[in-house]
Amino acid sequence: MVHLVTSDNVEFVVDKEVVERSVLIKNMLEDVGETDQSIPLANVSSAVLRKVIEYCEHHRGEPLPSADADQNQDETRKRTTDISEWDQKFITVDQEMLFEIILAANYLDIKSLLDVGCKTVANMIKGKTPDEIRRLFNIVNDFTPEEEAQIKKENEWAEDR
Amino acid sequence: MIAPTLDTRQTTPVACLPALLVEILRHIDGPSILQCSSVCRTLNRAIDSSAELQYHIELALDCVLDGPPSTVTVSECLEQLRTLRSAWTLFEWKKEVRVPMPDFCHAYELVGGGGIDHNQSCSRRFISSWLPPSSAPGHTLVRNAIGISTGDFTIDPSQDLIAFHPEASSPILRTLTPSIMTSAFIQIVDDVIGMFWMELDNPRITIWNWKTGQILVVRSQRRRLATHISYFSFILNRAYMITRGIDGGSIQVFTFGENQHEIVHVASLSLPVLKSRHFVHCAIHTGHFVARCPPNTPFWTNQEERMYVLSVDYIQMDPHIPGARPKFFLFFKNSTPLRYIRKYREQRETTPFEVPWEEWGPHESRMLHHQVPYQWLRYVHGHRVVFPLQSSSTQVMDFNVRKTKRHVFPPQPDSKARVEVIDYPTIISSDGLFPGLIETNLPYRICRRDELEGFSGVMIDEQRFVGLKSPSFADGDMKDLHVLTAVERCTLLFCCRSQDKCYS
Repeated sequence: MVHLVTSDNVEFVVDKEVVERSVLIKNMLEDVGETDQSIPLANVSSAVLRKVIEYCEHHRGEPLPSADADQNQDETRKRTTDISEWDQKFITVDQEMLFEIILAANYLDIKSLLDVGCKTVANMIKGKTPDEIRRLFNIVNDFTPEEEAQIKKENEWAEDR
Repeated sequence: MIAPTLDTRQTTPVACLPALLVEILRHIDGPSILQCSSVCRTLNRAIDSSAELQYHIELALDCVLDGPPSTVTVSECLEQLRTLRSAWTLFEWKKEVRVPMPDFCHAYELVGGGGIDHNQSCSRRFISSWLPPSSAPGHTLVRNAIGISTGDFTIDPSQDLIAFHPEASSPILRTLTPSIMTSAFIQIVDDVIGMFWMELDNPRITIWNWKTGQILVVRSQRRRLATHISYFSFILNRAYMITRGIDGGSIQVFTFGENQHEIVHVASLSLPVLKSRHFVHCAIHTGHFVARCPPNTPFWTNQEERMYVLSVDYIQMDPHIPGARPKFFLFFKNSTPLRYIRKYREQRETTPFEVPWEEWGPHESRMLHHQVPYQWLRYVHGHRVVFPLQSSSTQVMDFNVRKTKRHVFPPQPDSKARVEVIDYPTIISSDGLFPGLIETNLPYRICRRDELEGFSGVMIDEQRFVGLKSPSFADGDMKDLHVLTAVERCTLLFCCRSQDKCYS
């Protein structure tokens, strides 16, 4: 069992097999060897870690993408935004949690989870106008009117498709 | 490994680091990525500085698709894509190569990745030639006695498939055609082969799935084929169009499925209304269909982004009225028939759309006078059409005209190329034929070079211009292929495998 402590000081005790889906933790454990000491995760809150562990529990035992397969995997996932049914349900969370999961997956180095998160955001963006994207994610338009007009003109070719 | 930002209150995509933005945006298509670049500065910068995202934007711009995984990096692919675009936009070539060709050939095709196959009907030989990249010499492979006397043929090297149209006495299709076949045309699209032919004067269409052997479409006069049909072309592997020669002429779009009863007439696109009764003979030409990206190629032409060239021939039906036989070319994009197919499905229509010329022609096509000095063997590749001119020179017409700085390249100082964008209308006032003026507006770019002349046949593919020339009459039967290549790239050996499979 591995002890993890979140940014809000909550301790989680998790199966080694489950927690090792995080490449970061796996490497740490390999470095320090068997230990009862808890691992501090200063960048992850308990609410987010709970979700991350739920994900890792569900995908327990599935083969991890190896370093060699990386190139290939990059290619196959590049153009597809298909998400499995369980993952879809799992990632149906509010926007804040969605981005927290993406950041945590990136920090903990859990490639498949990072992928699920990024694909979900990609699906939200697809086919939307810049204005719709701004409203969706609460982004401020920081272009000057001239800059905006210029970019719009340059990008016009892609709109008549 | 990238550390996340510590500020967890700011949880928008903008708060993510550029590397994470790329991680998200790599899952969406080029045009959508471009939309994101005008959202805010952070996104704009992240997209501008990512070669991978730029590559996906520019693949969409050039109407090509990413190839299968390879060891070539994204930056190298992007570089190749830009080199190629620059070569076609400026009409500048990296190298010219001459390949001698033996004997007279009957039919030829330039297919994905640089093989030219041609066919000599009397000697029953089938020859595959590999066109050289700029660095290596070309070579030729000859297959003797293929066992059938052939007329037309078609090939999809990405699937190791060649289909021949056997001449009338062939044993192979005898069961299909009890009587004489006069002219035939075959096309392969992915898993289907379509054949259109005249049985005496009756047109017939047969489409079958060559993987399962199942017949998907059989159409003849007796089996619900309309009268006055003059030509056939696939649109997709489950859609085709035919041209009809009465009532001013029309293009009829059909979809089909796995069974013969699934044939659906989706739309009829009319050609311009005529003043008097003419039979309108149309032939359709389009680029080669390939099912997959040719090997060792980083990207390939999007099969849904293609041009059709209609050769339209107006024949006066009243023998008492003397008159010329006006001929035109009509160019249109595949997006036109595809849009009606999509609309038909979305609106769950049950009757075909009757589309008058005014609704599609003026803005989605370009009509030009037929001015071709010799029997012009089709050559269309994606959005480009190579075109011989009356003046014995040759031009390439590129219908992928977009207003973007990605299409602007510094001009070559001593360039011999003449390039012009035609974004103004063509007006045809054919006396006596049409009741009014015919205006068409589909923009295109004309590329010419004076030295490109004297060819008896011209072809193009993604990266090459190929001209067939018969030089002196000294040795009678030698011909030269002039190959102008735009980029350094390896050519392929696919035809070898095709031949082994097809003939052994």
